[in-house]
Amino acid sequence: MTSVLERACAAEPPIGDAVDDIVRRADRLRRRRVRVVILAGLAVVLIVVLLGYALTTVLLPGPKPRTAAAVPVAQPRPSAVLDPVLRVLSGPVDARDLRIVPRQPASGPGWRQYAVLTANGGPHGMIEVAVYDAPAGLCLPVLADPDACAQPDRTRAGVEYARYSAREDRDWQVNEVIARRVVDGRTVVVQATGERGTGDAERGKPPLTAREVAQAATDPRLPDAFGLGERCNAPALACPVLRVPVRPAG
Amino acid sequence: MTEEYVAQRYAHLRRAAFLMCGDWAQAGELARATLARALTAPDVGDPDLWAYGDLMAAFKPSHGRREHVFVAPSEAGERGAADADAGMGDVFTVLVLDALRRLSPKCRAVLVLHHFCHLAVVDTAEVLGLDATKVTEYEAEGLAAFADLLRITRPAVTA
Repeated sequence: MTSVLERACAAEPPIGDAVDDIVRRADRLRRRRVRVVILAGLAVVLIVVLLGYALTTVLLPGPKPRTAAAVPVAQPRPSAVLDPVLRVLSGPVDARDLRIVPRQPASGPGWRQYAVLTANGGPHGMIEVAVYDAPAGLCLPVLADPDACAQPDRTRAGVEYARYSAREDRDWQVNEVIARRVVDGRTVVVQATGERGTGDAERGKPPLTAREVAQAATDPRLPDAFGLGERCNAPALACPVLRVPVRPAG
Repeated sequence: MTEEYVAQRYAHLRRAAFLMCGDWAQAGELARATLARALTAPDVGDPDLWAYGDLMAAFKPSHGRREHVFVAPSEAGERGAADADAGMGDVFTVLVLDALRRLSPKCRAVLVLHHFCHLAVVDTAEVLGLDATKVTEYEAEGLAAFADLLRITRPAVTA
């Protein structure tokens, strides 16, 4: 059998440059394998990077979406917008071509005070606002009788109030209103005082009339402009000195 | 594996491939590819067994290779009819290749590896991925078929 097979190969063509060709092919194979290894490494690195990116994108929280509330508002705001008490008072003051600004010390727990200025910046008195808690009732004083309680006026919103005007002293003219919300006894006092020490009755007039002060004091927004814990119930030494003091019952 | 090994074994590998496919050009191509891979393979163990295994893998039926009967080299064609011995040799080669082609690829590979490459039955089984018993069966089957075919065609060869 072996001789038969060997005889079948008798017409074998010459080998030629087969050995050199095999060596060249081997070199090409080696280079190709190196390229394959390098490309495989690069592919692995690329896959790892893509997987890492995908996993971090999916698993880790992204940047928080910017909500409208988080967007800083750069536009200037008038002080009345930031101070709800000032918002109530600025209406009638502005209507008189006057300006109202916080007066230092401008506020404390249960009270605010503002300076009123003329159009050219001159002083024109001040306005003080104080709140009290009087759930058990409140005796609205009668100036002529220290032992009597005044019969209050009442608004449709359920606010009882009494107006007081003191014009006898030209250096201390005051329009004051004490207003009490009946439902919970929250009481607001607004006192508009004319510029003191001028010696001039006209220049010492309060910046707001008694009616305007009453409108501000009975404004439903005013008691809510103070915090729940704020109040000038005694003892509250820092609160404004009122021409007509407030004495809650109980 | 070195270039010296390549120079020693190329001719024999090409002949083995020729007996498997019947085409000297294809046989040369397969032998060169096998030895080029052998030069670059990191660890081939027994280089002969590795080379035979790589070469025979090219003839697995799954490769779908076309079966060649015989393609004479250009030199043989150029010799012409004047060289009567050469012409007769070509006829004998065609008959042997035709007989081999009629065998199954594994049966043919067993005959080539065991009887032409002189591999032991165990090594032949290792190269082809068979067990030794199967190799023996293939060998018996191939030899019987081959003997019949040669007996039928011998009158034509010797005429």
